[in-house]
Amino acid sequence: MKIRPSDISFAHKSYLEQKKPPKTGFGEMLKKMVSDVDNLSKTSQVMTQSAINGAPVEAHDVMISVEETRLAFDLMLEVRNKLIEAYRELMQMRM
Amino acid sequence: MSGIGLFKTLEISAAGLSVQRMRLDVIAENLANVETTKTAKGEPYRKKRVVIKAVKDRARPAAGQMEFSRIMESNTGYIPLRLGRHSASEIPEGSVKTDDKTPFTLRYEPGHPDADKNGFVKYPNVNVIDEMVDMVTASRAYEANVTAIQTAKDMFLKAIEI
Amino acid sequence: MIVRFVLPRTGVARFKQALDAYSLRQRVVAQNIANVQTPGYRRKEVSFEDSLKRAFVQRLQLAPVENPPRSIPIGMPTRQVPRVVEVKDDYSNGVNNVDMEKEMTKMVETNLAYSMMTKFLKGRFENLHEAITGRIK
Repeated sequence: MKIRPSDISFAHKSYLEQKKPPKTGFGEMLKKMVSDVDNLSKTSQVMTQSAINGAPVEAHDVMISVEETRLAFDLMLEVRNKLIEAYRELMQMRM
Repeated sequence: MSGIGLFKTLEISAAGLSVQRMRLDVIAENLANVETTKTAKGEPYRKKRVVIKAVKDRARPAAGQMEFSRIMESNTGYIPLRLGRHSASEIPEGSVKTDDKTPFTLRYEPGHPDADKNGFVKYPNVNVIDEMVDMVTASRAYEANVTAIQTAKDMFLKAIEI
Repeated sequence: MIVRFVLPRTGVARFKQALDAYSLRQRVVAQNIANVQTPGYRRKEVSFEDSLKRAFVQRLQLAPVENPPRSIPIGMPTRQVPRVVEVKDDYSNGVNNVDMEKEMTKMVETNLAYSMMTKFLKGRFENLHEAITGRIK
């Protein structure tokens, strides 16, 4: 079978498409985590600020919001650390 | 209860304190003047009393509270408080009125400079026993409001330990 | 990701609901106390535990879910929300139906219950933190 130039460019295209990271990879998860942490921290900042300004926010709401932000942040940090650790192990294996 | 927050409950208790304080002041004035047969107006002292009514607050929660409920609900699936029909705050308000209806007490004292032609003297319409009883209830109610404020403060301090 | 899957499963939602109910109760009791001498005032209360008890007795579904997952996550909030209700009693103090002794008792109970809840909540956050980082707080 004769290979035409258009076949090569088609093959090249699908190969290039394969190289893009899929949407469900760890990178995407980490990105979502970062944006979550960002939103949570903005929420707790707004809550704390308006509690100071006298808005009718319950004390426990503010504290819960702050604590959840901390948990989310620590979770994200731990996931990131584990990912880096796993990557390093992987890199050493290939040697 | 439009909105929750520490300050609303303090506002309610503070109004309660004001009202009871007003009552205590009026009682003190009544007792001080129990023998005043002639005031500047020329007639005996007329006892005063405090008329209390409840002022209703807006039933809708404050904008801030609804916004936060929505945010927390969307963040973590909390079900926010449903405050209900009777959630508007009712804050007591007192005003001092003079009791014009109760008649003066008449005492037979012919030698008194303010005696009328039959020898009777008009004394203030203050009943000492009633005033003392009112004083006790007003004091107790005052203390109860103080306890409410103390509780609100305790709960706040506990919350910030979370 | 964290917000949708991790936070709803921490069980914090139940604590927050209880804390909300107790602070509302403190407010309502404070209002009853402030209005102990207000003619025509009707005392209010917060109904919370009763509706929860009734739900258990009648086996009402506590956690309605649209697409039931294979397992119900821990900490799913219940549908029994606290409500403020007006009570039509007999006049117990000569002016209205506010019973000062009962209100004071409720005030003390609420204070203690709130303290207990905050202590539990603090412990829960410490557990979660330890699970994530290996340290407490």
